[in-house]
Amino acid sequence: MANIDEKLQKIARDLLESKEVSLIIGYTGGSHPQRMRPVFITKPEDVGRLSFNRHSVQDLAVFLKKQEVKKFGRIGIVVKGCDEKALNVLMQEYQVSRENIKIIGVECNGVIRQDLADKGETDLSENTVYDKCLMCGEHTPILHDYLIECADPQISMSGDIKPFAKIEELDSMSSEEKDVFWEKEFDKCIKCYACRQACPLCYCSRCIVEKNVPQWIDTNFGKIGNAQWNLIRAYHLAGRCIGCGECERACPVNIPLMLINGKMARSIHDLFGYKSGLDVDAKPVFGVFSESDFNDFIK
Amino acid sequence: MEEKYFEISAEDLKKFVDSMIKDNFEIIAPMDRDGDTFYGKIGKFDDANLDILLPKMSYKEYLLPKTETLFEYSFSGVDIDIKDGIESVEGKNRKRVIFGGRPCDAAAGPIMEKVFNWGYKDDFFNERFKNLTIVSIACEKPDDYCFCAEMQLSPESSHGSDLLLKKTGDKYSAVVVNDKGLELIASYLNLFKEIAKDEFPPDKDWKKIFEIEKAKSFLDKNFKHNYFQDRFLSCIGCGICTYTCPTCHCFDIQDEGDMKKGKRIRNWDSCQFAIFTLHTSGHNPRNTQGDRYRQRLMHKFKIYSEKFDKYLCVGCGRCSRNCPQDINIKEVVKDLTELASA
Repeated sequence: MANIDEKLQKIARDLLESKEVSLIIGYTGGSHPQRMRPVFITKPEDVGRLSFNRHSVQDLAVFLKKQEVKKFGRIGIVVKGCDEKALNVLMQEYQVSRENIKIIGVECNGVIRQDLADKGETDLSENTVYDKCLMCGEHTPILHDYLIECADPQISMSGDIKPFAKIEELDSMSSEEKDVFWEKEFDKCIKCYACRQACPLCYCSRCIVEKNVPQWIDTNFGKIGNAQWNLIRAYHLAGRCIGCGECERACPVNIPLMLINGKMARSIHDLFGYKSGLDVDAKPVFGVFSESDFNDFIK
Repeated sequence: MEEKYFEISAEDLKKFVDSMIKDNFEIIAPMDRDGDTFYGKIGKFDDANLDILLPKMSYKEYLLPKTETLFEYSFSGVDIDIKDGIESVEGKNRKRVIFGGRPCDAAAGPIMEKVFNWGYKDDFFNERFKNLTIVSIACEKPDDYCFCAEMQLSPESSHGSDLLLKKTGDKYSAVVVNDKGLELIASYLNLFKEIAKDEFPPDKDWKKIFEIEKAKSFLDKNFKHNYFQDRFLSCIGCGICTYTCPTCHCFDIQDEGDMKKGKRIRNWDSCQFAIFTLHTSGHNPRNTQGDRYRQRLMHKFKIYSEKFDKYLCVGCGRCSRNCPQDINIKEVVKDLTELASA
């Protein structure tokens, strides 16, 4: 572990000393040994705070949408494979320019679920990581200027655990049953919009929920308002969500948002053969027109 | 009234709660859900989880609901019919009890009561507060996020509770703080055994790691300190701190409806949202997340205490536990006290 930290710190020091970047966004130790937190380093003498381990759950790409961060100009950022996919979408959508960003990729074989880590979990296994880690196809970040090898062994899979199995269960339900399921889940929503804030790809300067002339989305916490909010967010992320799971991790009332995002990602793949975040040169799936589109309305 | 002291066995406590439910009380208690614990309405004593330190959210929503209707209107084309929302405030005919909450949550009610009666008396808040009886259980083991002792309370404080229970072995010692508490147990007195004051277990000496007054003295003089901008670069403005907080009480008033019918509602809101202070002109006096987190600190540890002689924080630590970016308010306040001495 120390080896990883030393390498991270050396890269960061070089980048800051050579003034190639003016800010490094990375991880440092958090409230307890099983928690990590984001850290913002601007001076070479502070790089000793940088660290990375199996508790580095946050997707730091979220900070690139903050005005306060953007003003630093050239930024170095520590990313896992999943987080890096968010950078790819941000670049595809012209939110981040490749020249302004130094990608410090860290190979990752999974991060421990924070709810378990908070109870003291330190073992990396198929029972302790997020579902996204079990399905991960990008243990090594796709794009990177620097790469740090993984300190953790690959997780062995027994075959007993099927990630996102609930999606298939929901697929087999009738519309009425699905309605009952989601109504119960959305009923918990407290409209804090933390899902949006935690999302690296929810970067609108004014979210549709904040537009009130006219009021598109009901502001109340009732059945309609809650469903409107959660569904519109799902649609706005269809074909874009890279599955980092930050929305679900942030949700203070435990709505299984990754079931929605995961379902959307599967549908986009089935319909368009497109997976978000894998190719920085690809056109966003909803940003292209194809003459061979199977829908008639577009011709 | 003078405080009264009782003892009740764990078995009788269960009987007490189950009897209240049978007698049509609505009992709100910590309940397990989705791998976490939240306050909710229990159907029987065994539904409650009394071992958990703190539910994920506070029970603020029973004083200030996430959404509430202030009034409704309907227009027939000739007549306008207006219905005052206060008529449908729940808890009027049915007594509601918060059972098994912690002293920090209980302390939040009287703190919020101040602002809801500051000049204008908020009938909605007051009606709910009046009809709520609080039976708290003292904490045996606060965790590292807790700082109630620093906030002039303690894990055993009875402040804000009507009845406080302390677990001692397989029984509970109870202090009845006021008439509301006495009224609640009046029909079930056979389950309680009165004891003398000196038989009630004394409060332990809870250690403090900082003096909150020092944090205030820093805030008094350092509105423009760089600390706020630097420290809260990691804040993503999700507002979870304010939504899970037992004392944060900001709300937003909205109209929903059309010409025929509609309602005026108030919803929870948060000072951590950029739009909270955005002016129509486009100017935002709290333009950065550093400005916004500073506001939360200022409101809790300076402004509120100057206006109402109480800090707007009970030290429950929820904002730290639930922060997706691990911003720890106990560390932050400690930083402020250290900066004050620097």
